[in-house]
Amino acid sequence: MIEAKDKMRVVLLTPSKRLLDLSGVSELYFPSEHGAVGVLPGHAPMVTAVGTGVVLYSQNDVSGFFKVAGGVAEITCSSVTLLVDVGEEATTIDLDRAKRALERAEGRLAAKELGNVDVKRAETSLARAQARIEAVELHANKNSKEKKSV
Amino acid sequence: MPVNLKDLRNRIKSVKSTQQITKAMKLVSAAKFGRAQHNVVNARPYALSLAQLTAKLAGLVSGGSAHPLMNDVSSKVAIVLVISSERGLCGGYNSNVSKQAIKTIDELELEGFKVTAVCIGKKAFQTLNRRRKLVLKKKDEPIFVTENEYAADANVLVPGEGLVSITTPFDKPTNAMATRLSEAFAKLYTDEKIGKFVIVYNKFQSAMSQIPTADIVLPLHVGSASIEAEPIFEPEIDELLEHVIPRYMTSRLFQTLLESVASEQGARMTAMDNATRNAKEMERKLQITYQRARQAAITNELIEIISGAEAL
Repeated sequence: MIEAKDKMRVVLLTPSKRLLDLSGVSELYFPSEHGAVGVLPGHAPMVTAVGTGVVLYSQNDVSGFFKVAGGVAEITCSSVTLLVDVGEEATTIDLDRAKRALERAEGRLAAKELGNVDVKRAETSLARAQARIEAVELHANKNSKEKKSV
Repeated sequence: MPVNLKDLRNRIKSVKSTQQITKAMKLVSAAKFGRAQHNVVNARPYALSLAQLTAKLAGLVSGGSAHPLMNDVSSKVAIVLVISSERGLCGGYNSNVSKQAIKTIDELELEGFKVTAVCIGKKAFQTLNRRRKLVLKKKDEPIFVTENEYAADANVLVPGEGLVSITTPFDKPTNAMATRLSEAFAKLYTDEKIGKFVIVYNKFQSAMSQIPTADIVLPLHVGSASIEAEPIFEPEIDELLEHVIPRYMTSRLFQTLLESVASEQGARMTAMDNATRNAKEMERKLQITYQRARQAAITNELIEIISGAEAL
């Protein structure tokens, strides 16, 4: 296999569509179930469970952000395949909605002593909302930096 | 030849309007078909990658019993999930899938299973309900279950032996819907309430051909693939399979639902195209008959006038 070893191919798939298929990626971060994982080209083969959080890739100077939740990732030395249950690109996220969801989830968790709260569900939606907001903010920061440098 | 011209005109008019309707239906289902096919194609990469990964992981676990869903269960109850459409006028789509369902049910009963047929889509349900006593040898009334009900308690799906209809609109199948279905059946299987789970649906080939297929989902077969170097597993492979196997099953169900919808629209498009063409042909024939009759009437009148003039 003749391929530049300093780049890798990243494929991000959800059950209903392909979100990303990009070669020449130099850096990738994704959330595993036990914290964030950073992948550089030439990583040892690995299979891991994906948690809820933000996927970040950079190819040359271009980078992109996705919010993902649940799934599996397969890493080989020249490629990473992320099979996620849910995923969306930062640009398509509705920030206001995510913030509202965050408040709701926090409210529910705060009231958990009162009972009648599905704690697990509230925690999941909290994580989901946080991941969405994080993805949007990272994306926004990145863009504002670019504007400054121009 | 006393052909009533007025009747013929009416006939032509009605054939024409039928043609218009079938043509409109064809156009509508062509648009829906396009979308449905797009969805099937878009969902393929995920399904393929997941199937490969599952096969690789399962291949690494010796003994072939990597996950409870892959083991045989002693229960002699089988579920046949029949996927048909809510609406008719789609050629042989529904009757083919019903026939295949009846065949599958018969085969399972020969193997000694008690069969429960679970239907998504009204059409196959109606057929099976009419033939309930013959096919399922059961006089009980069918049960209607909504999505929330089976998500809360999967046991409603197996009344022992009989017919269950899941009342869910599924024009646009979502992965969430496939997940709910898959979780419910997986739970029944791991609880040893059912020993076999088969899906009967129309496999999507092209707009022209849909193949009625019986697909054994549980016990789950994942095949096996070899892996060059054993990768690192995070978490351990057993725990990882807990993640992967249910997703693989969901992905299969999702693919099935998507293909069913694409098949339905494809079948309807083809059927309506044929109907439009037949109507056109019929209209042409009627038009000829009409013109002949009209000419005959004119000739008759002329003869009458001429012979009347001669008589003077």
